[in-house]
Formats: sequence, C-alpha cells, structure tokens
Amino acid sequence: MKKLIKIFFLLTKTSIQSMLTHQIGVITFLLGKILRFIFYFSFLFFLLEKTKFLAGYNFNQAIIFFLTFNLIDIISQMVFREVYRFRQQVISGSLDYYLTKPYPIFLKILFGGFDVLDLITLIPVLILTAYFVFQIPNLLLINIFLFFFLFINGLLISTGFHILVLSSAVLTSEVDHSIMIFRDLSRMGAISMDIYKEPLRSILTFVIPIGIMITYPAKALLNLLNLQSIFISFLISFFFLFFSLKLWNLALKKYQSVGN
Amino acid sequence: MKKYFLYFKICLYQYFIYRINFIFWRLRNFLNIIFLYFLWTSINKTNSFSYTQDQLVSYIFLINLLYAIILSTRTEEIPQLIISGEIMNIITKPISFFKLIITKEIVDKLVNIFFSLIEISLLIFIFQPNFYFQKNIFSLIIMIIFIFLAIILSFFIDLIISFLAFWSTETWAPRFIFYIVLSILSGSIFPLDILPSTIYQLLLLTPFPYFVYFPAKLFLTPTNYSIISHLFIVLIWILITFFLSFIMWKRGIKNYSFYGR
Repeated sequence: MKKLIKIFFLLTKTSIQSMLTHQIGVITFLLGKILRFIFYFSFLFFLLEKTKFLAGYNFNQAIIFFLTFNLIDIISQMVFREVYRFRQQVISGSLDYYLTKPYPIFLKILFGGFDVLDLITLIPVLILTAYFVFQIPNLLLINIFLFFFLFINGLLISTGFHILVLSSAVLTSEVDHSIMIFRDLSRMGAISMDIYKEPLRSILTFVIPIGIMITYPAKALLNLLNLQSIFISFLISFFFLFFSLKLWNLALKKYQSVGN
Repeated sequence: MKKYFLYFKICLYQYFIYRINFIFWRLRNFLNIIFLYFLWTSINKTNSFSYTQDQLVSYIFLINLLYAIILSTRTEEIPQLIISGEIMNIITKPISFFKLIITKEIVDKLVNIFFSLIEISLLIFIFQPNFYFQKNIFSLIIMIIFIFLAIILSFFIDLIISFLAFWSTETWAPRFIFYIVLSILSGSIFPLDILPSTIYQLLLLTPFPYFVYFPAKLFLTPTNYSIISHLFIVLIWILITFFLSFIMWKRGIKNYSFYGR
C-alpha cells in the first residue's frame, strides 16, 4: 500500500510538472473554469429570481443541487483526468507498456493524472457549498452525515463511469466523445432529476445512475430521502461498479495491441 | 471548382469513417436538447418572463438548429495544420487555402443541419410540444439576413483564434475561453433578455448575442425595436474581425516557421 501511495504521488508530481510547461494554457484554462462556474451560477440566480421555484425547489435548494453537481464534477475531473488522455495511450500502443508495470493498471490510467487546477477551483465551491448548507432551515447532523456517505457513493458511481469509458476506449478506440457523454449526462443532474418526466427520470436515476450520483446527496441534505431510497442507492452503486469492472476485464481480454 | 467539389465529397465521407465517434457526437447534441427542454418546461407557467411556455420551447429547438447553422465549424483544425507545418502542403499547391476551409465549413454545416433536423423532428415526435411560429414575413426575412451575417462573423472570429497558432502552440486555451463565453452569452441556454436590463443592453454591444439569441428572438417576437442599430453593430464587428483576421494571416504567414517533420 505504501508503495502504491508513493507511485501515486510520483505520477501526480510528473503530471503537475508536465502541466506547468504550458503556463499560459494553465492560466487560461483556470480562468475558463472559473468563468463557467460564475456564468452558470448567475444564470440560476437570474432564472430563479424570475421564476421563484424550479421543479418545486426554491433558490437555496436549487443551488444545493447545483453545488453538489459541481463538487462531484470537479473532484471526478481532478482525480480521473488521465482518462481524458487514455485514447492516445491505446492507439499509440503505450497501454502495453503500462500493462507490464508491476502495479495495478488503474493507478496509471485512472488516477495517474491528478489535476491540480481542479483543486484550485474546488476550494471556492466547497466554501460556497458550506455557506448554502448552513442556510438550510432545521438542518440535522444526520442529514450532513447522509450527505457525506451519499457523496462518497456518488464518487464511486463516477469511478464506475470512468472505468466504463476506459473499457469503451479499449473496445472501440473512441474515448473522446464517451467521456464527454458522461459529462453531458452528469450535467443533466445539475439541477435535480425532478425536472424530468417519467420514465426518463427513473432511467436517469436508477439505470444510468446519474440521479443517485448527483441528486441523492443533495436530497439527503434537504431531508427529502427515505431510508429505502438510501439503501437502494448503495446497492445500485455497488452493482454499477461491479458491472464496470467486469466490462473492463472483458475489454482487456478483447484488447489487441496496436504496437508502436 | 471541380477540385473543391471533390474535396467537398472527401470531407463528407470523413464523417462516416469513425461511425461510433459520429454517433456519440450526435448523442451529445441530443442529450443537450433533452436537458434544455426539460429545464424550461419545468418552470412554472406563471413565470415573469416576457415569453410564453410555447415560445420558450420553440426557442430551445430553434437555438439548436441555429447553433448547427451558425456555430458549427471545423476551423479548430487550422492550428494543428499551422503548428505541424502541414499548412505548407496546402499553400504550395495550386489551390486556395481559404476556399478549402470554406468548403470544409459548408460540409460541416450541412451535416450538422441535416442531423439536427432529424434529432429535432424525433424529439418533436416524442414530446409533441406546442410551437410558436412567426407569421410576419418581414421578421423572417430579417432573421435570415442576421443568420447570414452571424455565419460570417463567427467564421472570422474562429479564424482569429486559429491564426494565434502562428505565434503560440497553445491555441486551445483561448478557444476554450471563447466557447465558455459563447455557451452562455450567445443565448444557447436561455434567452438573454431574462438578464437585468443593463447587462442585457451591454451584451447587445458585443458580438455574442447575434450568433444565436438575436435570430431566435426575431423568430419569436415581432420586430418592433430598432433593427438598424443592431444591424450596424453586427456589420461593425464583421469589419473589425475581418481586418484582424486578414492582418493576422498576412503577418503570420510572413514570419512563419515550424519544427521539422
């Protein structure tokens, strides 16, 4: 374990050093991410100023959904940044090289590109989330605990999605759009699954578990989840992660090296 | 002309080489319309916007089509041509670089329009929304003029961003910023006039609202406001961006150097 942590930090250090060689790009990229957050936050603000309610939620509640989405989105990008570069590794044959390394392959292809830029954008979002969480009337400690556990659960689902993307890259060599489809699907949960009508709402919540990943932690915080839903959400995330790992193993069996 | 038509055909075939990639790309567009459709239909009908819900729904479908017509582009491939030196293979041949780029743009727009229409038709069939149709011919003609101007403006802005590659290898960064600003300020998520009046009036002085929002607005509301002043603003932006892209191309190609291949 100690060895794996050491390798992770070594890969992270390399990733940061590589990123810092593009200083103008880094600053612009960071500025872009901040701008995007400000724009969407302002949009929600102006929208709810006029409509008062969105899918039955007031401004503070809608913002909690939006901030939870941002937290999961930013952390996923921060931790799984290497997934965005995976296709190149498959088509160039570099994947063969990583497969022969004496450490788990996910350490390189899933966690090996820690993005420090996302860590910078994460801090203000965390502060803002804390501010809006403490605005919730009658907030109970149990809701904060549930939020925390469902948030971790959401990150596990996100891990499952990223493994699915890796698998699809091995099977089809086309990862660019599949990772962006995951981002688009996540964005569909940015406000709340309650904006969708059935059966789409259930599909997005339980089949493609975006709803459990993003909406459920926020719902737990707002005291809108029952015990049954919480139990189901943990069960679904377990099966989803299991399924994605199975698919990855299948993809590896089907993998035909490109060579370089 | 024959060689450009041949290039047109090659560009068209390229879309269908990587079929899964193509399907995923269209799926992204499809998901985007679904998200916006449900976002705007979830808003209570008694909102204080100047739009009815039918108009808002029409706006979502319309901006998708306008985005395909105006903002779809392949100019993001130009920086790679410049950085890799591949552009030399084109400009030393007896063909026009700009005619090739324009041909590629036409193909891209046609493909985008074709598939957007299919996706929109499919969603209309599924959701069966009520549509608002502009019956005023004058508004429709003005809208078409603004669409045409927006295509030109968007092309010159894309060229400016692409030509930055003559001086820097990091052109993806300004393009990233441009698309983020564009995604919100062009009105491709919401009608810009829901913003406070001062911000809205200031935005109308920038090129962004004229890409998607303004043509859509012309379709949805009668043109009882000053069209001439907006036409004037767009023409000024076209002139500025044209001269800037022209100067950048001239200076860039004059001092052009690239690493060996």
